[in-house]
Amino acid sequence: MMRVEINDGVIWRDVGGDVVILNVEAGVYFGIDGSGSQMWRELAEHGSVEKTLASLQQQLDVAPDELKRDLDDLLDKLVQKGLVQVIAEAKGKPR
Amino acid sequence: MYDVVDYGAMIAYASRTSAYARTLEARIVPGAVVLDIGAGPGIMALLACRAGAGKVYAIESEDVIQLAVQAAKDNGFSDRIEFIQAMSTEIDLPEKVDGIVTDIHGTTPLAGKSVVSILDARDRFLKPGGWIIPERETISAALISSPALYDQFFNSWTTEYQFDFKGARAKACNTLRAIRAKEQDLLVAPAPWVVLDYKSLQSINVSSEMSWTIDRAATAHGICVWFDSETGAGFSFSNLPPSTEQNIYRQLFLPLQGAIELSAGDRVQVGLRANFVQVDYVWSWQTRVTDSTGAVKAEYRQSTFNSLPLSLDRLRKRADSFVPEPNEDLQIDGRALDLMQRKLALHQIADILAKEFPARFKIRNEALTRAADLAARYSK
Repeated sequence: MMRVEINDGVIWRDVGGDVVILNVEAGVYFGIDGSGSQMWRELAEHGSVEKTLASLQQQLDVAPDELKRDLDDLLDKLVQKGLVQVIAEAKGKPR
Repeated sequence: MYDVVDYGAMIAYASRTSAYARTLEARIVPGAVVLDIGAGPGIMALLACRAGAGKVYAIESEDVIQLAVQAAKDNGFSDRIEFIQAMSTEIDLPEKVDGIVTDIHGTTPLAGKSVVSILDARDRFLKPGGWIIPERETISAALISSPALYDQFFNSWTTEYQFDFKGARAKACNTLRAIRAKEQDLLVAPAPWVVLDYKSLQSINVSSEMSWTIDRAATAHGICVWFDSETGAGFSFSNLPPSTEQNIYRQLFLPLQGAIELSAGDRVQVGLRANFVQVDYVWSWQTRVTDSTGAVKAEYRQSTFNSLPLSLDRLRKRADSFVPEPNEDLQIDGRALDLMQRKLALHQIADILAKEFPARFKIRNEALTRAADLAARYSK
């Protein structure tokens, strides 16, 4: 199980269907639109990669492999920007 | 932004002006070089001169600086005060200064670029061992009960017309407000939130947690925040409620998302943070109330980020992934700036703009206003 935690000091807001994230420590805004914003909302709600994938799979008409690849891409970017941490539950190590 | 009446009220705010005046007298040695940031109508620069300063650099970005120039002339200090209309963060000084004096406050010292300016000036302009007035400021908070205030935030949306304003209400509960708090409205003893020691302060962002144990039943509606300013040499002033004198600063009110019925023995924890983002502070407050058994009675997460009146379009344009696409305004301003580079007079620039952008300038004077605004910003 991969747990996803929004970092301390990161707040977000739904704006007309898109997501705007503010990293207050860095003072930087980030925007996510389209399916990315849907992924963010699901990640924020479920806090887990697996649950997010399962929920998105029910909503979107897309191949599972493709969905997982897209979510992984988004998570890589979010981790890179310091917005979230992905933690392997069993090992408890941040990604 | 303050107007001339507000500036007058600041000077008349006796404990504030007196604390600054007496600290300046204590700190200034004859001939000292002083930097006054946010000089306003010039009161600090005048006091510094009277205390013996040989040179004062008075920095003020707003047009109120003209009042300061006049006051320097009227009081015989023009030869000792150099006025610079700019943001202090955007200028250089020809010399280091012995001390910095500044009074840029809103309801707290975290007002716009105030702390940014102080730290920048300290690091670039202050001599080793130099002084800063104020020396240290403590921001404190307490839970407050105020049904009237709470009504303003939440119940003013419920009217006989019965429209659904839940979007506006949701924004309102993430909005800050300057208030005049009454002492009897404070439900708990004040707790210090942060101390800003300007000689050693490194971060412009502040964050800390406060907690209280409730000793009587009451309804909490929000958090009241104010500051105590130690100007130095043992002098200080505060906007702690109640204000018995003319106090321009008032206090800051952070509403709770919902009124909380508190009982004796309840524990209230408030995590409060203020982060400087681009032009001003974003305030975030997390409130958690547990009863004497540890059960959670209420838990709220609020932030002014949620109340920013930005349109989707404007918010998008602030996201770091946004790729700007030039619009017609860029063409207009670009053309006007190009004509300025060619040394044309404003009336000539206005004529050309009106001719080339007829849909935007149906009245020729609007083109003149546009050019004049650019000239005010970009000409020497």
